[in-house]
Amino acid sequence: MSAINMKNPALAYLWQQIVDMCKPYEKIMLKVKDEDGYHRLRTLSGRPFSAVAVQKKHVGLYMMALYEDSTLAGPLEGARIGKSCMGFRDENNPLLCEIPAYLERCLEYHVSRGEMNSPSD
Amino acid sequence: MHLGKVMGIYMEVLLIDCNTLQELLSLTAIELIEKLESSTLARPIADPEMEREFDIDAGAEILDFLESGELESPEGMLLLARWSAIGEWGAWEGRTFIYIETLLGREVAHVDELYEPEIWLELIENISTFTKKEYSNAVVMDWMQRREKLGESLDEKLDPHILPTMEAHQRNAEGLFHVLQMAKKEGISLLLGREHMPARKWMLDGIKLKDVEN
Repeated sequence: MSAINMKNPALAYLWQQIVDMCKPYEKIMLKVKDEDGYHRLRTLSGRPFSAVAVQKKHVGLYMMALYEDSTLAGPLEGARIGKSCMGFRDENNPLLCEIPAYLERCLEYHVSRGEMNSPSD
Repeated sequence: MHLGKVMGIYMEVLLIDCNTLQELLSLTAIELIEKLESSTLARPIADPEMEREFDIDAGAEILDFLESGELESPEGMLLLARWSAIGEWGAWEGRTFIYIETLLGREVAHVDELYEPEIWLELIENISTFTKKEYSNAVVMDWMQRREKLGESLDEKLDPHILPTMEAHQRNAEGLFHVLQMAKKEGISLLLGREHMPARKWMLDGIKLKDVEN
């Protein structure tokens, strides 16, 4: 992975960490962007699921589900920097380990709205 | 008439009051017609910093449409959404590259990207890094740099359009700043589309109108 196009190359490793947590969902979703510093998934019906983007001072994890239901943040509320966005600056942030469960909650949200099938179906 | 109307395709962004739209979607066509004809159909309070279609025009468009169209169609949904708007913002699409790239901090490769919901989630978050004035100034600076790169003059004596164009960019940037701030509020949805775009392709919080369940 090159970090040439990133806004802040120092965040490349952190970005990759978060993208790796999103990777399992590539099997059941559409990967619409996979560029240096920018990764994006959509449900098979075309709804935005996740976007992970390197910003100047943080890595943003944007979820449409959070935009629509703020309760999905759960333990990650402390990392929240906007209506749809979690922001991370540090690879050692303990909240990073909460991301997989958060992604699952967001997935369940889309399933509950009939925007995609449950992966177990 | 907007200047953009004679310059090219116009991007439109509407802030939708979700409660109002939900209520409208629960009505039958007959109920809707009755309420419109008796002027008892509630519309959300307009945002004083924004423009929107006049009540009488928005209502007449719905009534005209219902003479032959179906309320549950994307076209019907778009009209109901317009009725439910607290305000709308628009700009010539060519200019919106400047407004959007300034906020994203990167280039937008294709015009279709301007309408991608993920981009708008980023815009809504990134606007927090600017004050209204800072954003407006950043847009004008970007515009001036682009003109310089193209070898265009920035001397108002040589080009009488310089000043009004700069003012239009400032006005548009300040309007978009407000839209993005308002889009953070609970109960407000963002409806995104462009001139001549079929209703089914307009996006309400990232859902195409053809996919929105009534």
